[in-house]
This record gives sequence, C-alpha cells and structure tokens, in this order.
Amino acid sequence: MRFGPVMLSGLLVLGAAPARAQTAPGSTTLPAGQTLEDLAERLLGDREAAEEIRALNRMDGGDPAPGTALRLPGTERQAALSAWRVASQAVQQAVDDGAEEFARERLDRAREALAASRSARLRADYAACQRQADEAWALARQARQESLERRPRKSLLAVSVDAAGTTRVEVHRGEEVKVTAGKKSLAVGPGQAVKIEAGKEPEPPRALLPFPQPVLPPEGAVLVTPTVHFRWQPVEGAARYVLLIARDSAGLKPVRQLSCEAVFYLFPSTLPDGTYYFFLRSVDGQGMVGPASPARRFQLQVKSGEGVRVESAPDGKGI
Amino acid sequence: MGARTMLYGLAFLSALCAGCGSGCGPKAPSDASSGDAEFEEIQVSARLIAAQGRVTVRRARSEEWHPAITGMALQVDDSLRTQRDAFATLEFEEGGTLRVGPESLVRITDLRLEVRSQARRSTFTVEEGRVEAELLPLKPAGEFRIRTPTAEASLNHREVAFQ
Repeated sequence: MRFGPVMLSGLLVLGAAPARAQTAPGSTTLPAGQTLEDLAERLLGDREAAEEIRALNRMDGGDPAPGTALRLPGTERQAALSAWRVASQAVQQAVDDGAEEFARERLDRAREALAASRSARLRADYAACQRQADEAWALARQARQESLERRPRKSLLAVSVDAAGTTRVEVHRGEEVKVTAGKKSLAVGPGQAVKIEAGKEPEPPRALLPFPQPVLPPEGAVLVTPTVHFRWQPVEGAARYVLLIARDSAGLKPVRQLSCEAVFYLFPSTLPDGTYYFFLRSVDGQGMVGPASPARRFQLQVKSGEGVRVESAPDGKGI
Repeated sequence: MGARTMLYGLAFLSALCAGCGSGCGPKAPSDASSGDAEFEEIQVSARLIAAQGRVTVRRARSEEWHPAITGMALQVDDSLRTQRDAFATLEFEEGGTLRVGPESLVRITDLRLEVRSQARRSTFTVEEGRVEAELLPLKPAGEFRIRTPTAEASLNHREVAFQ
C-alpha cells in the first residue's frame, strides 16, 4: 500500500488541525476593531490566511468595512495545508540526506513546486496547492533517494566493552574490519559481528540480526499526547530491541535510548515539542546490536495540540 | 575558516615551531619526520557537535573533569565521559563521526594528518561503554582504529589490485 502524502494529509487533518479550524463556519463578518489578520488568526489559527480570505472574497487589499460578510475557506484548506507541511518536511529530509550536494536539480524542482504550492494557497486555490505539494513531495523523495545512492557510502562500525571486559565489534556496513585480540586477527565483514572475552581469542564472526520494521508511529505523524506508542514487527532470534530517538535524521543528536524485550514501547515523553526521528535495532542473545532501521520522523505537539489525539496505524485504523 | 585552511595554518605553525623545541604549536607525533615536509604529520582535532545529558571532558595531562560544551575541539589524550542516558557525538574534519553511547569513557589516542597525502590516522580507546564510528572511505595510507582493554578493531585503506 502506498503511504504517500495524501494519506498522511488525511492523518494530519484528523489530528493536527486545530479544533477551531474544523468548526469554522462557511462565512463570517469582520467585527469592528479587528483586522483581517486578527480574524484569520482567530478562526484559522494563521495570520497569513488573511491573504487567502482576501483572494476568496476577491478583495485587492486592505480590510473590508466592519460587518462585511466574508466567505471562509472550507476543509479543503486544511487538507492542502497538511499536504504542504508533509512536502516541506520531505524537502528538509532530502536536504538532511545530502541532496544539496548529490541531487541538486531534483531538490531545486521540489523547492519550486513547494513555493508554487504556497503561492496557490495564498490565492485560495487549494486544489492547485495540494497538487503542487504532492509533486514537491514526490520530487523530494526522489532527490533523497538519488542522494542516498550517489553519495559516498560510509563505513559504519560499533565497538563496545562491558564491565567484564568483553568486547563486541559490529560492522554494520562498508569496509571489512580487522579485529585483533592477543596474537589472533580476523576479518569481520559488513553485517557481521564478533565477540572477544577478556583474555581469550576472538570468537568466529556471526551474522547480525536485521532491524525490525517500524509500525508506529507512522512516518510524519503529529503526536499530541505525552505518551508515545512505538511498535514494530518482531525479528526472529532477537532477545531484545533498542529504540533510539534523535533530533536529526542521521541519529547524530540522540535524546533517548530505550531497550525492551516486547515489540512495543509506551514512552512517557518529557521531551519538548518538536520534530524527532526514531531508529530501531535488534539485539541477539549474545548482545550483538544490529543495524538501525531507516529514520522515521514524528512530531510532538503536546502543548499546542489542544488534546486532540492523533495516532493511527498505517492501515488507517486507530491503535 | 574552512577546515582545509585551518589545517594548512596548523601545518605552517608546525613548520615554524619544528626547531624551537619548546613545545609550542601543534605537537609533532613522536614518529613524525618533522624535518621532511613531504612526510610531515600534524595533529588535528575532533569537534563535539552534540552532547545530551551529563557529558564531561578531561583534557590531556589534567585530572579534572569539566562539563562538555557543544562545539569544543578535542585533541589527542583528551577523554570524554558520558553518564547514564547521556550521549555525545564527535565530528572529524573530513566529515566522519564518532557517536558515544551512555555510560562510556573514551580517550582520543591518536589523531594525525599526513600533510602531503591528506591521509588520516585516528585511534580511539574505549575504556568502557559503546561507540559507533561512521567514516567516509579512507584515503591511501589512512587508518582508523578503536581499541578496548581486550581488543582492537581497525579499518585501513585497501589498494585494489588489477591483473
């Protein structure tokens, strides 16, 4: 099933939209002493939407006289806005993954489509806004993919030592790694790991477990409850799983690392609102930690979410 | 100032100080051929680009641990410690990174650049805990090592032979 911007838009409409935007009437009047910007902020949660109200009511500029009847955008605006947000995040993700350097042309086209989407929204042409946003999203995804394929492949290895002096070397990708203990050396290839107990020679390399497929939260989810429900598919042979939450898609700025044996974790978040990414790993019975799943993004909007619950499984059903 | 400019600056300072013997400027590694510019090696630094939770740093020849500050440069013989639920990420000048997990103690054992070939030699010692290194392909003669009290993992540039 394609889990694209349209469906994401739907999720966001259900959850992220301020309640007042959904209940906004089809028309209103401008109260005395208020500007169109004040009205837009009060009814649509966005001062910039004043320009859309002007376009919708065929006004050239300025504010109408108090008491003037004004047509307001319907729910199509929220869908278009959500599509624009999802596309905007996809562009940022492409940038994070090196598209500026390795997929510049596609990235520029994605940015142009995103700008066109915004212009269409300000003209109150919400169908065009959503169409351009979907195009921007698709181009950004292609730019990210192109960048991931073209940029130099980095080697990734992990080394750990526990209190008993046991060393574990895991080679997640890239070049072969030479592991030496005492007088013995051996080569550990990508996807392999080796354990060395204190005073002993290295054990033969063993295969790392694959990463678990993430289920919840879905990509781009906006979460407004302080408890985050993480869920993933089980991996055969996994003794436990490690969940890493980071502020960036490369995982260079981690904020929490959680470990559990089950295939879900109810995380009582105390993190500030913002965008986060999570990564999942399988750990085998020997304590070898496998490669991380691709970054999956979610947003916390606990303080600004007004209590609207937004978690949905990829199939669209609630959890 | 770009990393390359900074490196050239360090190389120049190193050359200036090569004969003074007073220990000023970047420290020449003991096996560096300081009199031969073709094989000159200079010590470089790694930068702390992220620190979350209680992360402390002990400078070379010091016994005191100080709170780590994002953006600070770490050099040979500096140590970094993370407490429970804490993380740190170091970035190398060529773009690789070293992520230090919770409850870890890591010492920078070696960080050198061979000026002419731009080959880098880096060694980190993990006394306890876990690190993850993400590295761009090494240049010829480049090497990267992670040591623990019981083992060493090394990554070397490998020449590809054609018949």
